[in-house]
Amino acid sequence: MDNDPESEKIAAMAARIKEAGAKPVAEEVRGEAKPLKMSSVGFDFLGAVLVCAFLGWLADRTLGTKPWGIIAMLLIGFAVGITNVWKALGNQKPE
Amino acid sequence: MASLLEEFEIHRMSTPMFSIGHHPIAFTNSALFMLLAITASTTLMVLAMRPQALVPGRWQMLAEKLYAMIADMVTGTAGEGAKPFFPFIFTVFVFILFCNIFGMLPHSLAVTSHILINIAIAFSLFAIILITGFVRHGVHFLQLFVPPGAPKFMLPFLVVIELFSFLVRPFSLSIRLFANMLAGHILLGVFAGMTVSLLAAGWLGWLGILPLAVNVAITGFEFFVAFLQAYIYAVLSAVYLRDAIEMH
Repeated sequence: MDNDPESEKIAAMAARIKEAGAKPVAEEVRGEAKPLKMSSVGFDFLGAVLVCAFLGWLADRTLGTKPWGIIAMLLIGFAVGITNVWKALGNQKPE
Repeated sequence: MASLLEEFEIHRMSTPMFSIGHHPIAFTNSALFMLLAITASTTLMVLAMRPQALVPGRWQMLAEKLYAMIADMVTGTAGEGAKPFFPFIFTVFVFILFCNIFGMLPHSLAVTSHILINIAIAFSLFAIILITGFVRHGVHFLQLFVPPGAPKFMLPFLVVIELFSFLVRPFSLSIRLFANMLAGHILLGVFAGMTVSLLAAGWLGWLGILPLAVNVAITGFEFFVAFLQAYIYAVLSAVYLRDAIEMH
């Protein structure tokens, strides 16, 4: 019975299952997630600038502070964008 | 030639049913494809898991793999404490995935190519983050906006930046998905239009095979993007949730 090809196949399969189970899945996913996030990190910057510029424009329109609102908010937007990219690349502390 | 943006137009499929304020609410093609996505995903999950076999079949394998992938991702990025939020993230992932894939059908509308849908999902996510954050940590949740170890005189400036950085997140999350879907579908339209124009160019017509070949490749790529963007949306939701659960 020892050299039965069927039982050898089953033993090989069991070894493969054991090998696959040994790898921690969370680790694997975390490793995969980073390049995924990096692939679209530009949107973190773009979104920050767009939203801040819109807020500035809105402030200008409602408060009548033209053109200072949009200028100030654009500057803040760039700073926020850089911070977001910095964070997205895995550096948690903005220093 | 029809406009490239025609496929993103929303039109009514029924008479307005009721109105909110002065805005009439009717059943639109966007609502139709959302309904289709919800029905299809629910049917898939329910029917695939019906056998509950110990050795899963093809459909059960598909459902289990989707579930396990998101479950591992959520606990991997946001920790064990994020388990209660798994149903929300999984629902959002499956909904966006099915909307994206239904958008690939000819003459269909990719629901997620409208930024309002994505912003609506992102806002509900941030409502969850804010509520959990304040319930779990109380006023200390505001420490999220105070970066640790920063020099005192920089604090006012850094707090403003951190505050806006938090405010901007739901928008950058939705812009990412919206821009990817919109750009992909427009790209398909551009190359399809190029094929037609070349076919009408007389003896150069055989060159039309080139944009056609590119279009075939892009179609395959778009299916990948449909999956990838849904997954990135889910990953980033989990990353943002971590703030509310762990606080640094």
